[in-house]
Amino acid sequence: MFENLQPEDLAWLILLLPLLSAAAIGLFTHRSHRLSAQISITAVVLSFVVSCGMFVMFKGAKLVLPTPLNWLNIGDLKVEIGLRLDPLSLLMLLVVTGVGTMIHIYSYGYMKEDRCMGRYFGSLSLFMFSMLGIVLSNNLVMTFIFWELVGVSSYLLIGFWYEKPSAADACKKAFITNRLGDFGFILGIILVWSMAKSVNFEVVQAWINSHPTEWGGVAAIAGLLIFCGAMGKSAQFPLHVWLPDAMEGPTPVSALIHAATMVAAGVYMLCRVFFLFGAHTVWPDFLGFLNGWSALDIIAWIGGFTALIAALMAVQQNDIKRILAYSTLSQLGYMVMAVGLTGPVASMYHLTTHAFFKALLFLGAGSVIYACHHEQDIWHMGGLKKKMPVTFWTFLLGTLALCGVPPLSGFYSKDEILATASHHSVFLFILASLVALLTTFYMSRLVLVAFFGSTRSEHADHAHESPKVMTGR
Amino acid sequence: MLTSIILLPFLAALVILFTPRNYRVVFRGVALLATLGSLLVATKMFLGYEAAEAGVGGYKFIEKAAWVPSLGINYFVGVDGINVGLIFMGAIVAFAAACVSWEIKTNEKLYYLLLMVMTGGILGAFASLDLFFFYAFHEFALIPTFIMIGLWGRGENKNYATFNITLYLSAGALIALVGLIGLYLQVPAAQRTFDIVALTDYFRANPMAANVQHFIFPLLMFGFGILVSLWPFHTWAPLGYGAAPTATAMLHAGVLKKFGLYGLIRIALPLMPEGAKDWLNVLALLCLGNILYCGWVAMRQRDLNQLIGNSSVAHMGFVFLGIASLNLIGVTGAVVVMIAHGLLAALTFALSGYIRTQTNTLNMDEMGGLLRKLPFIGAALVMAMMAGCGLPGFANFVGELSVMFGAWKASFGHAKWFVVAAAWGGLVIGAIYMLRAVRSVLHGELSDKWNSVEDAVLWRKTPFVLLLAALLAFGFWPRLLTDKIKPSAEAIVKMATSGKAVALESVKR
Repeated sequence: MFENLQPEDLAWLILLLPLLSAAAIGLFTHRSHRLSAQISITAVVLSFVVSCGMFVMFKGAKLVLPTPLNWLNIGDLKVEIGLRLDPLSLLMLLVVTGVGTMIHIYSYGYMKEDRCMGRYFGSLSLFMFSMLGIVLSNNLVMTFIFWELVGVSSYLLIGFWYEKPSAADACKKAFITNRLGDFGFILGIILVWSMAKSVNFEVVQAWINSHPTEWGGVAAIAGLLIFCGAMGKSAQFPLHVWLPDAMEGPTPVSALIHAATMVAAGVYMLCRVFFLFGAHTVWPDFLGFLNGWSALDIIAWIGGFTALIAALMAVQQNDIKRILAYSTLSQLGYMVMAVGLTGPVASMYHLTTHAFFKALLFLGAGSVIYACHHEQDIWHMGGLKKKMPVTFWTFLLGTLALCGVPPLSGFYSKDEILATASHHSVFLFILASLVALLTTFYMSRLVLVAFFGSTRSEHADHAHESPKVMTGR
Repeated sequence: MLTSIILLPFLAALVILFTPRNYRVVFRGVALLATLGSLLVATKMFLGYEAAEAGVGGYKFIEKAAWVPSLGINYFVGVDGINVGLIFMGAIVAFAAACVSWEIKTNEKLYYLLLMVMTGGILGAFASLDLFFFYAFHEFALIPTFIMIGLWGRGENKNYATFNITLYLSAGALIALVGLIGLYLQVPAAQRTFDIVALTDYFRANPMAANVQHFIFPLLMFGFGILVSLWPFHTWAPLGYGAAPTATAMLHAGVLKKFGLYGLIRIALPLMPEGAKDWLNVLALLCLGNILYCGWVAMRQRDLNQLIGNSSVAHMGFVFLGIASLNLIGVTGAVVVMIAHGLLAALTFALSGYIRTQTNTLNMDEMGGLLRKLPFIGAALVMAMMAGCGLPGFANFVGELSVMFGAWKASFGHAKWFVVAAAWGGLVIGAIYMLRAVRSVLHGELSDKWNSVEDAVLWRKTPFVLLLAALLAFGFWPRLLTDKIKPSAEAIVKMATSGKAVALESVKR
């Protein structure tokens, strides 16, 4: 069984370790807090190590396909569970396992006093498994499978404190809104399959290249249907409504799932299937009013509109996590807009930098919330700069990166997107610049109100720096 | 092998019959042992299916004995890829149903007697390759259903529900019987037989006249359809399941209901391709009633059992759609949904039955926060609800996915829009009612009145663990099922789509 094992088959470990961890915790150890946490953290660290190994080994390779598993095979419907290692997935692997490792460790401090820590780490491992499945997937149906699993792990984690009615409602809302997007996604997959007779990315791409006219007739519809899935996961207008409510989950979850990785899955998926959008657009008769627009134009405008509207909403929020949530929405709009402006590279660049600085901001917010005894209103904080110096300086760095101040990473990636916009659409360029200004405004407001001035509540008065496992001091 | 699977429950019924009525432990022990025995043999059969030698008509594990030679009635059992999974699923559900029967505290002798007869009938119906036994075993299973709902049923609507389900199902069975007799009479007197394999061979060589097919096919379609709660003849289902004792609801919704679908796939499609071609359009239209309308109805329910009952009716729509698509992917998907839904329906009714024994109500408005008191049952319910709205990892997803892919390629008019509607029903409507149930039963604040609620102890977890494990196993490795189903489904689809040639031949003759 193992004699044909190739080095790239080790990539399966990246996927299987979190699954094993989730299964072990769910079946055996969920009552033991420490042990569950240890299992989960070990799994994600090992995944990260293997990912780094894969990155080093294959970073020059164009495409590596570890041995796949024949999952379903009925007539024309052939679905593999197979991994795909290329520059895109290798980069995303590092982002997901890297941010994931940090947040697992941070969670150990943040969730220490919760009596369901076992369940928490079990769900977190399930999430890592599902997310890595999307990243590594080599076909559309497998992407959809893990897409749904990501949805359910997000449901479990948003509703982690299910006794709070607001959390119970929020997780339901998140799942159903995502399902609305997935409804389009699955139809898009079926449409692609019915044309290309395959769901494998390689095969579909080859088919599209050899049958441009046949594909042109459905390209726009199929592309937009698949984009529906991205609208759900990446919370694009009008399916953005679930993300602010999802902040009911524990803060490390908001950092990992609702800022760095899951919400970026939509953007990642769009970059993965970008070849679907290349064809010349022909709309069917009943959509004739769309003539002159391509599917990518529509995507760019939805992204741009989301970026603007979310930034405007962020300006008038008072809850520290909700401000960051709307900011995430706005940045996701940026990325989607970049894809729509035929700039998937710029989009992935911003996705990567955003994953790190936004996770940092959320972890900082978590530290503040932890110190202020679960107070989230920034107007009840104030003066935290002196009391929590580590949190303050790291939060400030994250803010500067988000605002695009050189030499921090946000500057380069945002610049790349603005440059792409200026090449393609002046109107979207102006809109994006306006959003960048708004971002600076609402983030400065957050930092100035929460960290400067005098303390405005008893909790803030008694705040002190978070434990080492959270700050890394 | 098949005979022992069927016979064990009947033997158990006999033992129970001759046991004094106060030996409660014996009834329960015998029932558990017999169903466990059936389950073990069925597992051996399922795992050994590929290696077994194929006999007449491609069937395996064939056993045959003459019964009434003058009428051509034989005891004839055997399995192919389609019923091997169904029998395995039926045996799992039967054991689980025997396990959850601890909630019955009155007149146990009669209860277990009926339960065993019902189990034996169900397993026999799916194994029979003789029309007479096929139908008779079904009646053996159906009649105990009515009695059990009438005697051990619950709720104010119990009598009305019994009345309703008896009328509907008897009518359905009767219409199907008329169709089957019509089919039987189409064979010339000298060659008449109840042997399904021989009938199939005969009609393959001598297709039935097209106008006869047009007449007989709808009899079977609606007759069997009523048995499966085809919209708009579905109203008995939520009502009956709401009132039925847990084990009866599990066995009927899980396994016995699939009999009608099995009959459609095994008999109606291959023997009457012309009839199928015309009437499957109607079936496709009606299945939207199941998927959409019953889904909407399920959304409005405040009683957990009513919700599960309606959702079970809605899921049947996917099987009908798969059958109507009449291609390999669709029919294979339909069989997978049948098996997956059997396990799921049994699981959800078992869970709601457990919750009811603890809370004495199934009104979701009164519940809330039960996850705190019921970590195991609650987790199982969340998993069941997720399986019900088509989450990958559970067998239901594989089936529904294949049905949608298959229906997209179906030849009936506007097939693509049917897929759009099915996806809406499965992904969106399904998620809404399933998550609403989780929200109202498990999430939210715990009321003080549920302080005495207790989670399942170790051995009471058995049926839930077993059903969940089967759902997950088939969800993770769907080829366990599809590789068996595919060749058999291919043969059936091939016969069912040979309609054109048949019509021409019958005109020539």
